Amino acid sequence: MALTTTVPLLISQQFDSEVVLANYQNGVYYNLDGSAAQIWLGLKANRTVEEISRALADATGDDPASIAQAVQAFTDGMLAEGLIAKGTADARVETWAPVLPGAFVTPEFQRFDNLRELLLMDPVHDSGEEGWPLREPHEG
Amino acid sequence: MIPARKAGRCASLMKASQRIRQEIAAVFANTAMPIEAQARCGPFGLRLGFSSRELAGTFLPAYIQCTPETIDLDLCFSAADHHDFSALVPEAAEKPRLLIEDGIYSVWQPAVIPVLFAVDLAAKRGVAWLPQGEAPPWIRSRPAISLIHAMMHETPWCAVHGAAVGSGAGFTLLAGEGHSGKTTAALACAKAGWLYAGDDFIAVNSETGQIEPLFCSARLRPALVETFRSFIGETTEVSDFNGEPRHELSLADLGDRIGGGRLRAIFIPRRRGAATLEFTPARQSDAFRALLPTTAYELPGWPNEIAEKVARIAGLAPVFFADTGTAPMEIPAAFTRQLERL
Repeated sequence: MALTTTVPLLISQQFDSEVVLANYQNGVYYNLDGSAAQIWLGLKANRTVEEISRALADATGDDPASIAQAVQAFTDGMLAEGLIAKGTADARVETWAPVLPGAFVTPEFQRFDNLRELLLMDPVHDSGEEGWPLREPHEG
Repeated sequence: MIPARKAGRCASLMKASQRIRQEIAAVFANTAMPIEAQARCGPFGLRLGFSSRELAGTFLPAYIQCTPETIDLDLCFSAADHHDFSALVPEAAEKPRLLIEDGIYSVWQPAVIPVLFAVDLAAKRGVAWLPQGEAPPWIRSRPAISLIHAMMHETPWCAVHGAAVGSGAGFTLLAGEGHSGKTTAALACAKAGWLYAGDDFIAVNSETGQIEPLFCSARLRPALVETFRSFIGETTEVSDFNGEPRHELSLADLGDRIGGGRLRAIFIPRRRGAATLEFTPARQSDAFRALLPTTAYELPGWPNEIAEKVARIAGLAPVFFADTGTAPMEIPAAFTRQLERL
C-alpha cells in the first residue's frame, strides 16, 4: 500500500529546508531537518522509498545500500509515530529532487511533547465525525 | 395536533445548526439586555449585551470599550437563570464539542465550569452561555475568543497566542509558552510608555503584519506584583485555578496606549540565565513553533488555516530569541535598541 503524508489532525509546514509537523491528536510536535525533511518531502511528492533513496544517493554520492537502509528505517519510524500513514498516496509532484548540501546524514526527527498537558486540558480541535449530537427532547 | 412522540422525533431530526440558529435569533428577538456596551476587538466592532450586572462585571473589564465605526458582531453573555440553552448542550455533555455547519460555529467546553459559545456568522450574532453563571479565569481574560476566531475565518486575520507592544521603532510580537516572560516584557514596555496590544492573545493580519489588540486584560503572577504594582488596582481579583494564582488585571486605564501597529520583529522570550537582555537570531520555524501550539489549542476549528496563517506571520519579520535577563525595567530600552538596528 502507498504511503501518504496526509494524516488526519497532522499539520505540516515547510520552512526552507525544514519541516515542522504538529500532531493535534496527541499534542506532539516534530522538527525534521536535513535528510529527514527531504524524505518526508519526497513522500509528499508521491515518491516511493526506493525512489527517494536513489535520489538521495545521487545527490550526495554516498553508498546507495546504506542510504536505502536508513531511509527505510526512518520511514518505518515515521509510520510508527503517525507522521505518515498507509493509504492513498499524495498527488505526484512532477519535478522533485532532494536539496541536501554535503554528505548523507542518518535522518532523525526532533520530538517536542511538552504541550501534551495543554492539549489534554481542553481537547476541542476540529469537527469530529460525531458532530454535535442533539439530545432527544423529553416527551411530555 | 402532533403526538408528543412524533413532535420529539421532528425536533431531533432538526440539524444542530438549525436549532442553534433559532435559539440565537430568539435571544436577540425577545430580550432587551439590561446592560449593554460597545467595544473593539481586533479588527472588529462589538455590541455587547449582558443579562446581569454580575456577568458584565466579569467580562467587561477585559474589553476595550469604545464606539466602533461598525458593529461586526452582536454578542450576548447570558447565564442559565436568564436563558435556557440546555437543549443545545450536546449528548455526552462531558465531552467538548465543536460544530461548524451552515454558517454556525459553536463550541461546548464542559471542563470544570462549562461554557457554550455559538455564533451565527451570517446574522453576525453570537452568544456566550454560562450555565453556572461563572467562567474560568482564562475565559474571563479573553472572553469569547473562539467566536472572534470564527469571524476571522477566510480573512487574513488571525488571533495569535502572544504579547505585543510597540513604540516609534515598531511593534514586536512576543511569542512563547507560558512562563517564558511574555507578560513581564509586555508590562515592562507598557510601564515605559509603549503601546500595549495584549499579553495573551492579539490579532495579527497575516498579509500585512498589522497588529491590533483584542482585549485590555493581563494576568499577572504573584511574583511580578511588586514590579508592576502600579497596574494593580485595589479591587483586582486574584484567581486561583488549578493552583495557579493570577492577578486578573484590566489595563483599560492605559486609554489610547491600548493600540496596535505594524509588526517589526518577533522576539521569543526565554530564560537562560543572562544578567542583561541578550538577543540571538532565530529561524522562522522557531517563531512558528513558539506561536502555533497554544494558538491552535485555544482556537477550535480550521487547524490547517491557523497553521498557514501562523506560518505566514512567522515569516513577516526577523525573529530573535530574547533571554530577558533579571532586570525587567531594562527590557524596553533593550527592545528599542534591537528594533532600531533592524
